[in-house]
Amino acid sequence: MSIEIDKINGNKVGFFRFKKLNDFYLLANEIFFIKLSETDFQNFLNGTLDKEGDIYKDLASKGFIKDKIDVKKLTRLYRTKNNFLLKKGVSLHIIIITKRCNHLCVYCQAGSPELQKDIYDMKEDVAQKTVDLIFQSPNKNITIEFQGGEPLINFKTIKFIIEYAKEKNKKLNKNLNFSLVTNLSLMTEEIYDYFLESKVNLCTSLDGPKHVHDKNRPFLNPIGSYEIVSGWIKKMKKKEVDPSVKKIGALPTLTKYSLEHIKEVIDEYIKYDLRVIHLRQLSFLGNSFGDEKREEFGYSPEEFIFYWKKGMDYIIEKNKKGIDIRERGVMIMLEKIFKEQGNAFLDLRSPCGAGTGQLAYFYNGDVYSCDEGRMTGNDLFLLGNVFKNNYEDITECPKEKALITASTLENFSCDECVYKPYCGICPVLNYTLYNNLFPNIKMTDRCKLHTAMLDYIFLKIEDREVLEIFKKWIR
Amino acid sequence: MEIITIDTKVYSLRAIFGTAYVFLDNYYIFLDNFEDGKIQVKIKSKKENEDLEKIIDEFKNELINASLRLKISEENKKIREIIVTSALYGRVEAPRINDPKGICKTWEESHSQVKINDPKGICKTWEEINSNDNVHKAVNNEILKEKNSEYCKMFKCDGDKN
Amino acid sequence: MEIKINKNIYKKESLKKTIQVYESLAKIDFLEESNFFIVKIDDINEEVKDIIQDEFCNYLLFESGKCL
Repeated sequence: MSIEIDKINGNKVGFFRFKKLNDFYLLANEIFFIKLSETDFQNFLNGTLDKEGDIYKDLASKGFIKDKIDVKKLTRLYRTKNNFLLKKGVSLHIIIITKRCNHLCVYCQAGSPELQKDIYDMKEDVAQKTVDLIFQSPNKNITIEFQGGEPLINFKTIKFIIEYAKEKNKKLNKNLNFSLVTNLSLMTEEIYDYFLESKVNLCTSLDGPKHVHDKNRPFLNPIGSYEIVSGWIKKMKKKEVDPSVKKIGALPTLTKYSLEHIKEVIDEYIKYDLRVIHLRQLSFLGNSFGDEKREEFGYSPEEFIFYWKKGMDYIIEKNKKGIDIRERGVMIMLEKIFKEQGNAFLDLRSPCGAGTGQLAYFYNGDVYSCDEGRMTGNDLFLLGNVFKNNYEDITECPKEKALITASTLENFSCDECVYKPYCGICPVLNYTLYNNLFPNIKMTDRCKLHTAMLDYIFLKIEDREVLEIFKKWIR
Repeated sequence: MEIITIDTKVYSLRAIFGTAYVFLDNYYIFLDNFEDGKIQVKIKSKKENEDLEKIIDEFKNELINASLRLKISEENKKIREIIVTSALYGRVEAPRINDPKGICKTWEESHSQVKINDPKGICKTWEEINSNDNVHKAVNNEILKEKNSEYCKMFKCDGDKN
Repeated sequence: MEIKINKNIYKKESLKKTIQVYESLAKIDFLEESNFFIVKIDDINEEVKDIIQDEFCNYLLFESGKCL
């Protein structure tokens, strides 16, 4: 069927973006989506749908019929979905507490220096200035996330920051949270008890079963990284019977080898009752990730999409058998599709969260736009320093404004894409990979990946059983 | 290489560009004027020995899609602006002032219960007299008398501003 | 190598930006005529000589589309 543009009734057709998926048209505006058969789509365009029919009523209630638009309702819903634009201040503050690491992960962007040199650790004076700057954010929700290198190498400064932040917060009374990303190799019972007491959310790397995990994450200790990580996960899981104990989270990083064993990676998460797994594409940031490494461990977006779909099919199969395992990237997109409040995930919003939702504080006091910005290994996305600049200097500098412009979807061909309400741009990746803050978005790896993921979701929800599984994930 | 000729009276240049964008990843595309109002689109595959017949059909379908998008976007520009502006800017509330003695109230707020007896309509504003629908025409009629007015220059003085 | 670029379709600013992006791969300059820009590409890097014209035109198309 070919669309007849000259028959379109401009007085009846409200705003929509669209895409043909198999045998139906997917339409979406900023709030709702709807699926129409080819015939219904043409009738909708011509303004000749039966006004008493369910399809017309559905279109009208969702703002697709121009003379039936409830402006107040759509305004309220648009505001709800984009509420993050109205909230002031950065909420996620990532502190790179040390650059040192005791692992030699094949995909690491951090580029770990020699272990002996504690000049790469954040010192107390820098830590204090960092916390002072963090609390200048007007946001009432503050999350301090410790990263590295391996953060536990500099545990004493972590403890200092937690105590100092709690002390400051006695007067400021913000909703203060802590989280830490660690390889668990330096975890002790004492440190773990401290984190439990201070309610620190813990997240670790679990790349899959032993042969996958240890191949990706060589460790200087002959025991091997997998034995240590799995040992600690088991221990922490036992503590989780107490409902007040926060659950340990885990993230895999997927190399070519991981993808070839994607089902085993997912099984490993099920084995340890880690209910959420995030199947993310490797990002080629940082000067430690040269061409040779990309050749050995990397893959094309098409290869990744093939294995991602395989992984998702496997996850859905497990869910159909009653095993609760969820894919985090899909969960985030499902919330954006189905929930009134959407999801303000920093990587999938317009503009992105760089400098508006998150900041990254390097061990030496340098402040970057985001976690990706500090991983580039240069100062392109450096916004300031805790000793020289205040919060306003950093969040209102020209670089930050450029980042906002370069991640606002209305400035790209994304504004024509049916998936625009569910998607986002990373200007750091664009500049690093394509030497352009405003590349041809359709040609970027990220666009290909997001398109494939969203195609998959909208096709899969044609199956009622899968739709119920997905809705359960976001309840 | 394949060549498609497109009439810009049917498909705008913007639609042609929008369509070309979709294919830039896998094809080389070059645009040239052909005859008056017609554009030649030259398409070459980045792969060797690819059969381009299928892609010509895809290009033409995508051209229709691009034109539809532009039309829908143009027809709904104002309503979209209203919704987004109201959603993001309508949210801003005036700060609440604690004013138990009513010092900050305007005269109208303090005297809202006062009704003015005005049978001859002396107190009506010019707009109330001319009504909203006719305000613009009324302004035009008055100012048309001054043919060199700035208003005439802006709106070309045909008595109706759209 | 010479490319005739139609001024009614491609914009001068976009052409200048494209030349800037490709200047490390060849010596590129252009002349302006009434309806065309005549782009001259010389001293082309050996590795890209087979594809530079096509890639240049694709990039120019992308840049020009931004202006519409």
